[in-house]
Amino acid sequence: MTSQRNRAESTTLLIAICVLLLVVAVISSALIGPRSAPEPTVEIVGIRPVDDDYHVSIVLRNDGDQSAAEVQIQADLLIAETVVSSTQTVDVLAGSESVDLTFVFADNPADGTLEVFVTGFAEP
Amino acid sequence: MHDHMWRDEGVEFVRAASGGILFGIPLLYTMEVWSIGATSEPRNQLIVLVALTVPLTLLNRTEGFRISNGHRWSDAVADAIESMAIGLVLSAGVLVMLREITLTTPVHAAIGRVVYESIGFCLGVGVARHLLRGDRIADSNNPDDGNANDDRNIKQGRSTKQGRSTKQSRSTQQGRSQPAMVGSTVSDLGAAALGAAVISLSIAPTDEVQHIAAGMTPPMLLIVVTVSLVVTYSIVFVAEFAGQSGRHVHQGPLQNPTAETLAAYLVALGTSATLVWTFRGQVDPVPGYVAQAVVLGFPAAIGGAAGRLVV
Repeated sequence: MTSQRNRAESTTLLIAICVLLLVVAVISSALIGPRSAPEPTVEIVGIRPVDDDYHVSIVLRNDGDQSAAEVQIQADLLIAETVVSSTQTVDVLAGSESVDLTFVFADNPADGTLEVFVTGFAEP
Repeated sequence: MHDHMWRDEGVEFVRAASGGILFGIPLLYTMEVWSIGATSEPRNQLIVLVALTVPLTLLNRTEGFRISNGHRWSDAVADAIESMAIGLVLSAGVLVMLREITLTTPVHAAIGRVVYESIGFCLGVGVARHLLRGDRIADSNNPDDGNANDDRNIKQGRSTKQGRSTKQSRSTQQGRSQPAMVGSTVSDLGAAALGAAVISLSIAPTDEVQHIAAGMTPPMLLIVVTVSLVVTYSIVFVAEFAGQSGRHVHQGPLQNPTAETLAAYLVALGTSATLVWTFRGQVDPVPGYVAQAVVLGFPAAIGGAAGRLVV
């Protein structure tokens, strides 16, 4: 038995080929050239009072092309010679991906010195 | 002639999409696949796509999503390409709907998620014709039914089968008593509840439901509700799976396509709300509870649609 695709079926096939070519092209573009190692960085983007606490908003960004896993972020607030620390862990951070995080402190970070930094990560 | 050509192609596309969704949804609610996809190497993504062509070609050689699929390997390869493209587009669409791909998602992470999530969708497209197909169901009920014939026929034959099936169903329904018609409705809704429970029971206790619901705004939840209704309507009344033609002429309460779709969705939503409460133990805060019920209601509704096709 022979079969011949009608115009509708041929159109569907053409669109399907275009979709696949687009996907393969996007994937292939990542294969060309070196892929930089993961570089998680943090940036404080805002501090706001919420009830009796202070919420410190940060953005964790992977400036590298490769993924990072188990990214650990620490925030140290130094007030009156006392350091209050808080940590968070992000399971997976893809290349160029960024996530919003929030640390919560009982004291106003404006009254002391706040440092937020990445303490470590794994390369999956 | 042209209208039929495009309509038939549209129905086959809907059948392919329905098969893909029926098969691919459980994998979609698995957080590990999102992570694996987002962090996967481009080389591995290409390998996945290439590797998928083998089972898809074999599936389209034997089953596929087209009623009138050809018998040549070239047809199977062409259908495999279409299966893969449909699976990729479906996967991307649902990931966007569930906000696992947003405008801030890096392109390569998004493509990785789409590729890995599409595995289930693509295979579902490849077996769409086999899923809940009419001949198998009809075989067990009535060997003499027109649907009992192998559906690997040409389209002309298919329209003949549908006409006969519709006629039989109408005459059967006209002879039914009121209790029988009510029983038919109860049977449909019971099957919807059972199908919804079967699919969503394994998803309800997972963190994915809470995770997805937490990122949803009210307009997005409305989109999920709308997509759930459109998809389940398509599976039951458009994709030409088992007994669809008979369903169009069922009589009794809630037995027209729109009313049945709405009623079955409410049953699936009720099932998912019950399961969310069962595993979370509380409904407070109510907006979060409703969001989780709607998010879980999507796979539940699809399971309900599959359940209604079986009865």
